[in-house]
Amino acid sequence: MAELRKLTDNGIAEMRKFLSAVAGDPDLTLPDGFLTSPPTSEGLPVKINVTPQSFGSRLEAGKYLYGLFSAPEASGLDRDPAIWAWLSCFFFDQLCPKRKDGTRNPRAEARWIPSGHAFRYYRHLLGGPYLIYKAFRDEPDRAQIVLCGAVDSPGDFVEQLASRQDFVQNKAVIDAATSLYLSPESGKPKRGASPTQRKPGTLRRFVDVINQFDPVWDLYSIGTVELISKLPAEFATYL
Amino acid sequence: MLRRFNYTGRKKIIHDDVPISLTGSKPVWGFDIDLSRVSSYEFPPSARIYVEAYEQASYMRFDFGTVGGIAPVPKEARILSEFEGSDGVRFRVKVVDAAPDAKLLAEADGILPLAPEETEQNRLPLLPVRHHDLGQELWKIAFEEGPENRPTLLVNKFIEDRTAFVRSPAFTSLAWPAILREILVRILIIDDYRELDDREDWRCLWLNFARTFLPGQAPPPDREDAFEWIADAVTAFSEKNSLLAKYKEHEEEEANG
Repeated sequence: MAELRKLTDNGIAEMRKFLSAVAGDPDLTLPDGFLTSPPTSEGLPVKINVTPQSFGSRLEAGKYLYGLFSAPEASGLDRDPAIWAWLSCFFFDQLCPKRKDGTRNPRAEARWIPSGHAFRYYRHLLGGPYLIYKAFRDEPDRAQIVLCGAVDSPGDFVEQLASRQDFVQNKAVIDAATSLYLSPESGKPKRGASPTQRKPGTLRRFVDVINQFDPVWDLYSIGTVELISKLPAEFATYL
Repeated sequence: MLRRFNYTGRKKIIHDDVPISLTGSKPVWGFDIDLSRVSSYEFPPSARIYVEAYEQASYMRFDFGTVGGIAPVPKEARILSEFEGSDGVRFRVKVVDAAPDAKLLAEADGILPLAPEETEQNRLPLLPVRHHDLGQELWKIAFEEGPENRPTLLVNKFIEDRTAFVRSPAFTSLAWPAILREILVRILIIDDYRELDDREDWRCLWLNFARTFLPGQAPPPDREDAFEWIADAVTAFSEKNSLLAKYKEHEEEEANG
């Protein structure tokens, strides 16, 4: 168990260097004390304990993090990018596991340090699932299609749906996508549901059709069943 | 920037006709909205009015009754609890034909609410100022998608009095010319936008603002000429506001303690 802290500016600068270097040297580790002492990290006004663990999915990560930040004394801490950067480092091995060939690929910085841009928040590997879980906390299963993936690889459904604020804020839209594309047996997206081409009834067609509906109907007044019933026949394959 | 055409007959509600202001104080704001001008759009009296607040994945919806019978949500229920600690919440106002299938009759999207220090003027400034986590950066311009979304001047959240900061002689003289240049480059060079009579598009408002410093000179269609026009606008802006004199005055004050 560790006490939650935040990275300092110095810590974030060091983190950037580390992320760049670890792509070339996968055995590199953060220096001792990086997460526990100055000058790279600093304490918070409240004591919050973080437990090392392996998240089975983005849903599990979101739920755990929501628990961390939902205490009244933690109010507002979830908006601090330096805390999310600290958490990313704390769970680094899980968020950037070694690949089969022994290398690591941390990819874009927004996966590690939250981007201030409203449309890119979802890319953070922990902040993204946290915010979606928070928005769907009463019925998180409705958002399974964007929460079922592994924390280190959010996948195409997250990129296509969570990147569009109008979509991810709308429970019926996300619920409809879950109903259409999540396999109840595997708990994962159905095979072939998100090709990069716009094949009939697949994810990118879903995005196109919702974009056509959006200026015509108030999609927040429409329930999931009604929304699905409005979809063209091509989507029947996925029902 | 992609242009979206409206073939649906859906009306656009002008932002100034549905002014929204934040109330209370951080970390959880409330809001006020004036819907009295919605009736001038001649919607069916039975159409419903919804006010929605949103940011990232979070969303709240408030039901204000119908066009013919606006039923203000009580103040204690107009609390933006989903956006605790946020300075970035935006709003949309929708008019919806509830029967038979929630047809969207009109919308105003991307409404930036007036911050408490802006409510006195009761209108959104050309460049609203908001706090943001900027690390070691002091300020930056944030551009959002959509012609209705005015750019905002983000000020580091650790600068407590953001209004005094942006009005200070040092900031005015050093930063404002750069801000004007950045915004005009965005409009004329990146977006390749030249309209001068679309009052709902923030780019049009900024071009007209810049033209007040260059009377009679419309933005040129050619890209190279546009760069020159921008430079002239920034020069004229600096002249009109005596920025060098302001800066020297500030330096003297600093030196005299």
